[in-house]
Order: sequence, then structure tokens, then C-alpha cells
Amino acid sequence: MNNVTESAMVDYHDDAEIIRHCQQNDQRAYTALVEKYQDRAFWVAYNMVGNAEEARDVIQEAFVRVFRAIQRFDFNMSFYTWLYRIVSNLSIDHLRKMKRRRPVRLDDLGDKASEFAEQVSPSARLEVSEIKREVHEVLDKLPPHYKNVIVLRDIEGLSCKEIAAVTGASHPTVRWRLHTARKLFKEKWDRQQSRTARKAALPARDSSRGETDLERE
Amino acid sequence: MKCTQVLKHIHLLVGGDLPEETARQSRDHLKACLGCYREYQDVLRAHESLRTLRQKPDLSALLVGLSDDVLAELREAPLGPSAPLPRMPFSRILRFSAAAAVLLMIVSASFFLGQTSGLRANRGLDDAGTYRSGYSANENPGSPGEAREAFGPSDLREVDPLHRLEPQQLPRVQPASHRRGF
Repeated sequence: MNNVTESAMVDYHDDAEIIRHCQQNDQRAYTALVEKYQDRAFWVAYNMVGNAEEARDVIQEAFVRVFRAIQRFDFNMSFYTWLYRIVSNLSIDHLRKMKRRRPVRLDDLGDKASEFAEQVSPSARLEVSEIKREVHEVLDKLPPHYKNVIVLRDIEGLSCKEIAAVTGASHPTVRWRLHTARKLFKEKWDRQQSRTARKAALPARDSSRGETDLERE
Repeated sequence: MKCTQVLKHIHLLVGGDLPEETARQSRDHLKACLGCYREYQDVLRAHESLRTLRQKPDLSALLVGLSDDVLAELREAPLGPSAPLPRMPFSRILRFSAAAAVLLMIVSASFFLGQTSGLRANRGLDDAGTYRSGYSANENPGSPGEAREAFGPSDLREVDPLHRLEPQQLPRVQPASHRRGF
């Protein structure tokens, strides 16, 4: 009973406090920690592995690993850096295991993603979802380490120093990886865009040719 | 700042990952150089497409019950120092054992062959078991000391097979440290 009262008084905004309760095997603290970080962890994993179901498995495994090692948590480092590190490593492992890469679709996210999409106009929604699909396709072609840096910096918005702490690489290495990753992304993106433009131009040319033929007739 | 310098770190410039001073110098250059500015616009366009993924949809429906699943998995394998160490799968144990057995057989076979060929060379035996000098085992006059007494030092080469071998044919004796493991 005492334990319940104590856990009810836990300040769930303070990571250190939650982790201390986790170390005392408080189940509510476990739940609080998962619920606090599950969205961010999922988004990183999803952008890495490109599939909602697999991303969920990855973060579930990540949280299990976190809780198994929670007794050894170093309070000098931030929790999310640690969690991101585990999620990133698991995602990279997962990508390596999955030799066959599937194209990523936003439909993977299910109804909730469409609810999000309904907030904007249908044409804009289509355009945004098309861009996202193309970005995911290009991201999927990048090597895992470069993909990880891009996801953490440009999508998740972590600073280079934070990424260095997550990946365990030095700050200059992270910047070099980021530079190479963006360069690779741009090259592949440009190639993809020109391919899309060619595809779009083909039916247009055919239809215009058809019209002129009709006009001639 | 030169064009090459700006283009070298243009990908870091678009993301705001350059030191303040370098970024300022690069921006100054972009204001003056049309070619670099166009390249910057190109890079920026690709970068902006990436940033569309910053908008997270509402993921709560996808993540319903995640904490319960995590806790259930933890319950299956308890926390703390009492938690059992992860076991190696049986198939992997089998593969490791087979590899270790094969390795052991190869090492012991090579050691055994090395020993017997060394003994043969020491005794001046060829593969058929006869002495290379033409003597049979029964005709062996004995130790080199006895031979020296019987035939004199000049005839020693005729008797002691080791004296007839060229230096490169002599058996190589491994240092004791190599043999200690066996």
C-alpha cells in the first residue's frame, strides 16, 4: 500500500525520478517511462526500418533491454540518449538482417496516419504523402549508418553533439557522416526526381499526341 | 571564401551544422556567386524534402499496449542479477562443437605426422622403414660412438645417417614452448 502511495506521488516529468522508481521495480514507473518515450522511439525506428510493425517490435525489444539494464543506469547521461542508442543499434541490426528491403508506404501507419492527413486539403495531403513516400524510398537506399545520422539529425532534430553521444562516435565523425549522408541523399533524390519527371512527361506527351491526332481527324 | 570551399561543406550549411564564422563567410559568398547559390538552392530543396518527415502523425493507436507487452516480456525473464544469462541456441552449440572437434583433429594429426617424420629423419629411416644408407635395421652398427670406434672418424659419414643429410633435410626441432600444450 505504501508502495502504491509513493508511486502515485512520483514526478513523471523527471526522468531521474522515474528511473529511480524503476530501479525499485515499480511497475507504474516502467509504464510511465515507456509512455513518455514510445512515440519518439517509434518514429526513429519507423524511419530506420520502414515498417510500422517491425518498428514496434524494435522499440519493444529496446525497452526490454533498457529495463534489464536499468540498475546500471548512469545518472550522468540522459535517458533518451541511451534509449536512442539502443533503438538505433537494434534498427541497424534489423536492417542488416533484412537483406530484402521493402518499399515504405505511409499506409503502414494505419488509420491514425490518415486521420493526421485529413487535417489538410486532399490535394495537399496527396502531395505531402507522395513526397514522404519518395523520401522514404530514397532513405531506404542509404547505408544504415548514414541513414541513422540523417534520421537523428534531420528528422528527429538532435544536435550533432547529441548524435555523437547516441552513436558513440566523435563529433567530427558525426559531421563527416552527416555531410556524406546528405550528399548521398541528394544524389539519389535528384535521380529519383528526374525519373518521376520522365514518367510524368511520358503520358502527357502521349495524350498531347493523341489530341493532335484527334484534332487532325 | 572560394567556391570550392563553399561547395565542400554546402551539405552542412543547409542543415545549420557549420561553425558560426564559417557559415557567415559561406553565406557572404552565396550572395555574391550565382553558380554556388544555384547549387545551394538545389541542396536546400532535397534537404527540405527530408524535413517533411519531421511531422509525426498521431501514433497512439499503433502503440496501444506497448508498455503491457514490455512488462509481459520482462515477467517471462526476470530482472536484476538473478536473471539468467542468455543461452546460446543448441544449433549454434552443435556447430561450435563440430568446428572445435575438426580443428582438434587437424592439429593432433599434424602434430602426430610431424613427430613421426621427425623420428624417421632422426633415425635415418625412409617411408618404407629401411635405412637410407642401405643398411637394414638389424645391420645397424649402433651408436655413432661405437661406429667411430669400429671404423674411425673418417668413416663416420658412412655409418651415421644424420651426417649424410644436408642441413635443410635435417628434422626441425620445435622449441619446448610449442610442444608444452600437447
